[in-house]
Amino acid sequence: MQGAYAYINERPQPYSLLKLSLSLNPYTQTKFDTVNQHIRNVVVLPGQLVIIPDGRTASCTVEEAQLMRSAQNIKQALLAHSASDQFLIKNYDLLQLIMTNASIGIGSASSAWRKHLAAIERTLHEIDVLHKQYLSKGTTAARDEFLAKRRVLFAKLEGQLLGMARFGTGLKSEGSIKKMLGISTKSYWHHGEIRQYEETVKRIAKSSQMLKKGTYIGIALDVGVTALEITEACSTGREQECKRAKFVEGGKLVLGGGAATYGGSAGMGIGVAVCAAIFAIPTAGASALGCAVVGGAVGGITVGALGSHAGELIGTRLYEASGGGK
Amino acid sequence: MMSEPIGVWSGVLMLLSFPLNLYVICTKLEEAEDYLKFSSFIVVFKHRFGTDPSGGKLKRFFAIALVLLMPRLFQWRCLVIVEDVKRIPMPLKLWIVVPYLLTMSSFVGMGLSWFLTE
Repeated sequence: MQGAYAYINERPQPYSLLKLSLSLNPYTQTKFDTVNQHIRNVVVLPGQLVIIPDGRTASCTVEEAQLMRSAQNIKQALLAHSASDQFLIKNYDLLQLIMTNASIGIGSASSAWRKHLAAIERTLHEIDVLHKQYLSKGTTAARDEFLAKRRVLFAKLEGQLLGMARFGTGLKSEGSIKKMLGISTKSYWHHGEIRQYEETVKRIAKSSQMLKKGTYIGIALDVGVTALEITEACSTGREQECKRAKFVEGGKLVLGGGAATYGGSAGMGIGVAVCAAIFAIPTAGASALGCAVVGGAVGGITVGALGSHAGELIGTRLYEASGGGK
Repeated sequence: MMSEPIGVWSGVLMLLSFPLNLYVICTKLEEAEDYLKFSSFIVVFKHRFGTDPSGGKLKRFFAIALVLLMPRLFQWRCLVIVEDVKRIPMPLKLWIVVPYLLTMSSFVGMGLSWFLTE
């Protein structure tokens, strides 16, 4: 092979084993260590770039330098954001879809996903047609035929949905990250594709971090605000105010947080159901995801606010019952 | 003022629903979903939103409760067959529907309390 190449590591493995598996000649081995400083003597994580150096020269080429920079960036993106718990890897498909929907995605890896989603939608459409046929006939003979056909279609759907899950859990289920990312089927990549991958990882890792931490940040902010409210009331030296703040703000936090979780979860289901009922959209696909996101957000915010209000009332009652305010 | 007692009782209802819902999603949800394994709404919802660490069980619980409460609406859009819903034993249906309605009642009560206060 002429020139420097790179590929994406698919499973966690020690550097020494990875190097052995490549069967490099002794001369290239030394250079391999030099160009792969980002993974040297550590366990190489899935998604990281492995560089195969140019065996024609002992010096570092411009291509190798570019690849080393890309590899370093990918490593940082993976480590800084989500590779430690594989959130990015597991949820790659959903993140990619959300990014595409939000018009911030680069769309480089989404064509495979879109095709897959379209196939699922086709099967759902076939199920829909079958249901309509059965409901219009309603005879016993039609029922038996319907049940048999339905079983076949749902087996097909199950396979497709498992495939959908594989998109996101490719590494976990020993699939191929290259297939999962849908970028290339070649064993070794040229530089343009590597840059594309680097860009994808950066953006998706950042989004995944934001999405993953959004809830925790929200809860942490709520807890922080509650603590501040209590501290403020207590720092003024007024004992009653301090005690009241503990009850009221505590009640708001518990019921507000719980209600927001319930509201968000209920809103997602209701959002999809309403869209399916009114607009007759299939329950898979970008439209359904959009309905779920909107329903979840509206439900979470609204019910969270109502819960906070109820929590305040309960907190006040408990404060009064505890002998406060007298 | 009626708003305050309504708000307080709704809040209490929601607090009670926390452990009840947790019990249902841990013990009854999968069993109920099994009866609706030919509902595209349930199947796709499970695959799509069952990716979080808890398996999206709270979302799935609310989704299946909707189907059990309004099977004809879902049948109208060919997302479920009423016949499948009827196969679910009544105690299991109640385990899903009653906690869902309690939770929803707490939502409504809180909303009413807020509305009356404002």
